[in-house]
Amino acid sequence: MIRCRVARRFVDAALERELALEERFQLEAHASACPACAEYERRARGLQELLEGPGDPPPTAADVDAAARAVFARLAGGETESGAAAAWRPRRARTGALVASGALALAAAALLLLLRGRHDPVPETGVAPEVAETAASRDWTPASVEVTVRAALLDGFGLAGADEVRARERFSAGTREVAQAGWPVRRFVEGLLESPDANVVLAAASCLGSLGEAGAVPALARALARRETADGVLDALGALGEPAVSGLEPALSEPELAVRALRQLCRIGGPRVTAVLERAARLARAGSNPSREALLDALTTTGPAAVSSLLRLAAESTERSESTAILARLALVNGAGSELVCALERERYPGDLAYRALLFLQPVEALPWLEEQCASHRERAFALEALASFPDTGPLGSALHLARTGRVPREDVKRLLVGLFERDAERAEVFTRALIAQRSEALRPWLELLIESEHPGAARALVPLAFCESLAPDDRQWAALAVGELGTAEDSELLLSELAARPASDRRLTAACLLSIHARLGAQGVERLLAPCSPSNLRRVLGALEGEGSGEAVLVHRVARALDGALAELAVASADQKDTL
Amino acid sequence: MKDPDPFAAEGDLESPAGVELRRIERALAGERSAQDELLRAHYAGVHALAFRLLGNPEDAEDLAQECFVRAFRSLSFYRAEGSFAGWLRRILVHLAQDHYRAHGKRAEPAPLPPELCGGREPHGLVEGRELRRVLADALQVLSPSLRVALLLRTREELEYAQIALLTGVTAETARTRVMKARKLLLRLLTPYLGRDSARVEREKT
Repeated sequence: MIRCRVARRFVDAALERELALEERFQLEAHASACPACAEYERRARGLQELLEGPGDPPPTAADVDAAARAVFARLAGGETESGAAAAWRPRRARTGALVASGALALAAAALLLLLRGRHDPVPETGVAPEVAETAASRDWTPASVEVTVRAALLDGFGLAGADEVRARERFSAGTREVAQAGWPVRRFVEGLLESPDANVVLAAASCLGSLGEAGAVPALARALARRETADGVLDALGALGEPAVSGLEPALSEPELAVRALRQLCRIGGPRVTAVLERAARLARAGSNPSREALLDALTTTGPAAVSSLLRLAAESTERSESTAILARLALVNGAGSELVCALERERYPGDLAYRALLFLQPVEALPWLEEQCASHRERAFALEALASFPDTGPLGSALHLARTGRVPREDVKRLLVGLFERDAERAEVFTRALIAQRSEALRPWLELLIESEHPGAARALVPLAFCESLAPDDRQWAALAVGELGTAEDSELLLSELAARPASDRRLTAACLLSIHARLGAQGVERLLAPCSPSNLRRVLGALEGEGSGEAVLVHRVARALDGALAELAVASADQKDTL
Repeated sequence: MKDPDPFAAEGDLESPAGVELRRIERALAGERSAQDELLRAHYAGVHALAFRLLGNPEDAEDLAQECFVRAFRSLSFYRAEGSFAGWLRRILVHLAQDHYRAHGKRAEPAPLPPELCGGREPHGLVEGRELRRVLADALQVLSPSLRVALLLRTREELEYAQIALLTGVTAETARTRVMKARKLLLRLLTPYLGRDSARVEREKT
């Protein structure tokens, strides 16, 4: 028979369901002879039944409802440290043990950093259930959260020049558990802006800037008070973009911070920055830092809103030279053209400010506005001068439009046209060819305007009109004759080459052209054109051209009659040439 | 807390395991009703273990609620490799251990409460519900480590290896703790477990 000690061990094994059949027989035999062991077995089994038996009555439906409400109220985010959760956060945090635990955690974090220093941490993509659960249920304290956040900051953002994406990944990985536990990580990072350790402050600032925490702006703005780390904080504010403008503005008045703050404001750009810089430029005095010039230059980088600011500042300037210098900066503003037109339509600026502004930008969108101003007697001179300064063919269109509408005296339009020809005569031919291509109804008014300008610059534009089939034959003859009257030998050469390139079917037009060619190139020019003709026919044409005492119409008629034979010979020659080819 | 493991087998979505899986997926998607269903399905089990671990209904209620708050907040960490009930149990045990730490360790063995030390005749008085209350008091006398190990073994029917994983000790230590807890409880509850126990023990001695 087994002894009592062995019997009791068998009892324990039986409770664990680990007793072999043979052993059970031995235990039963012993118990039948040993009341103490029998009683021990009875009590042990009774305890086991008690432990495994039903517990207290299960919670009622009302209890479960109340629990559900409490749980979801806390999940909804209303929970604070004073809430029920605090009961499960270590109460030792309120005691002196806080310091010790914090120090231990700091040491652990430092060790972690040292270990991580030689390895690239791989962002966690999956967490083992046990680890995850530990994380979820880990009992964080403010001190341990701060230590964790600090370590993550230094790990992610502690190295200057580190890759930002990588830094964010490292920081997120380092604070994942804390964030999962519902702690406000950003507030801890903000709190670390007041750390005595400058590296921590810089890392915190960089983190807030990198993660785009706009709500951190007030904390960052306060952190600017510490000069040692202010540059990094300014950079962080700049990285936050527009929400940080209010935080950067005060720094403009701090001489030590102003330049860097200005740089960050330029980096942000946009209408809010424009307004800030306009205010600063208005307040800037001689010798201030940053200078008024620097502020104005910075203003040009903030976008189209800078146009209105520059116009206002120029209008406020008492010195014309200074206002001109301000207006000259309009050309540096991206997208300033359309914005300037909007500003001109929206507001009225004193004197010739608007026109001086247009001198620096000359956006084509401003032409209709200028045409409108031309209708005003008071503004007309400024507007015409501004129009005349515009490049390309746009102002030619304005001149034509003004001439057709009749809102501006014809003489003013002609003066405008002359001014445009003086600056760039070649654009007239481009404009004319564009009108011809469009078969514009304005071709005839344009022809009239060109001839009325009586400017040599108009002659080159008249050449294509002489061959424009959209015009009436009389208008084309008129254009051809005007080339010889207004233009130079070069223009007549152009007319000659254009005429030679076409079949000479229209006697009267050919006659008008020959009159212009003869006027500028003499008989030689005519002979070049009529080289394939017989000498008798050539003599007849030259005789008609050199006749005296007749008006233009008579001359054209006479030369056209003389051309009869010559044109037939030219046609034959042209056909022969085609056959040869 | 003795739910079968719903994810042990691959069931279709209409099986109990599938239903719970869908609940969890919905809860992960932020559906409050799914969280509510999960809470109602598991609250009783969680609450019962919490009561055994802490010994009083108020703390048990708080602990159970905290368990669900933590669970829902970290639901994304849940892997369908074990039962949801088991996952809740692990969270609960960790919370209970934190609670024990927060309230300080008791001496081991702890002094018996007055009603367990005699002074009145327990025989015939402790039946049913009162016996369970006495057991709850006796459990609180045990050290937390013994209490947790014993309850996980007897009420949750965990293997020693699982207890070891949960409590951070070896399986052998977990077994030793269970045995020790059982002996201590036997000693504490002797007057309540048998009319003649005390006399028999005295005769044996």
